[in-house]
Amino acid sequence: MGDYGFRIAQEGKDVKTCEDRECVLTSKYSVAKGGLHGSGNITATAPAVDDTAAGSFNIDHNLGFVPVVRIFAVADGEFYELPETEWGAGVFIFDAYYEHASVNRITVYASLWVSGEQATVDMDFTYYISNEKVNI
Amino acid sequence: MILFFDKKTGRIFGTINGRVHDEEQMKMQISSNDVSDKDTGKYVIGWTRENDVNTEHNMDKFDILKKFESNTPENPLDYKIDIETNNLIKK
Repeated sequence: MGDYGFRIAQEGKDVKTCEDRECVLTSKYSVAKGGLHGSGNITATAPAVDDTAAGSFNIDHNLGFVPVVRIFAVADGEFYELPETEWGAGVFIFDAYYEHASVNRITVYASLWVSGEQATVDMDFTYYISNEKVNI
Repeated sequence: MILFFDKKTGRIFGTINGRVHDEEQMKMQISSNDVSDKDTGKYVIGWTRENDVNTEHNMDKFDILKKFESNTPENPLDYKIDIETNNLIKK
């Protein structure tokens, strides 16, 4: 720690000597500055049997920088953080991921292929976009 | 909360959570591969804020919004917009 800053220790920890992870707050690191969250759905049907159903979803956040993003697919009350592959069982192969196409847009993709069937992908998800830049 | 829906079917395909939405959020666009931009509608529950003035939207649905925000299984994606009446209804 430098010569200035502040720390708030967890209960029972000595603020002068405890580890950063034992702090409730430390000025050593940037803190989340709020953001945006919501939900989405991607629905798509494969053009033919043994073909891939693929859909996409765009969020034009217009922040002007690449934000920290977390996206969770929702299924049967469980959350699966993207990217997620081989989500499901047996012959199903589910492939989903997100990417930052630009500093102003986030695109979520979902695709599904089902052996011997005409696949339909129907994925609900929640997203969290922080007002925090990704430091690359 | 801003609900983005398909004007042709009423299907809700995306949301932005929150009760008060500023101008920046109102400019934001959510789009789906199967819905064109011109067929994308917005349904707001809560307030929009412009020049420090709040405007109410669909406050009769505010109790539903509170359910969406709570830990109940109520999910906005399980709803749709009745395109005849422009009303939020359960699928």
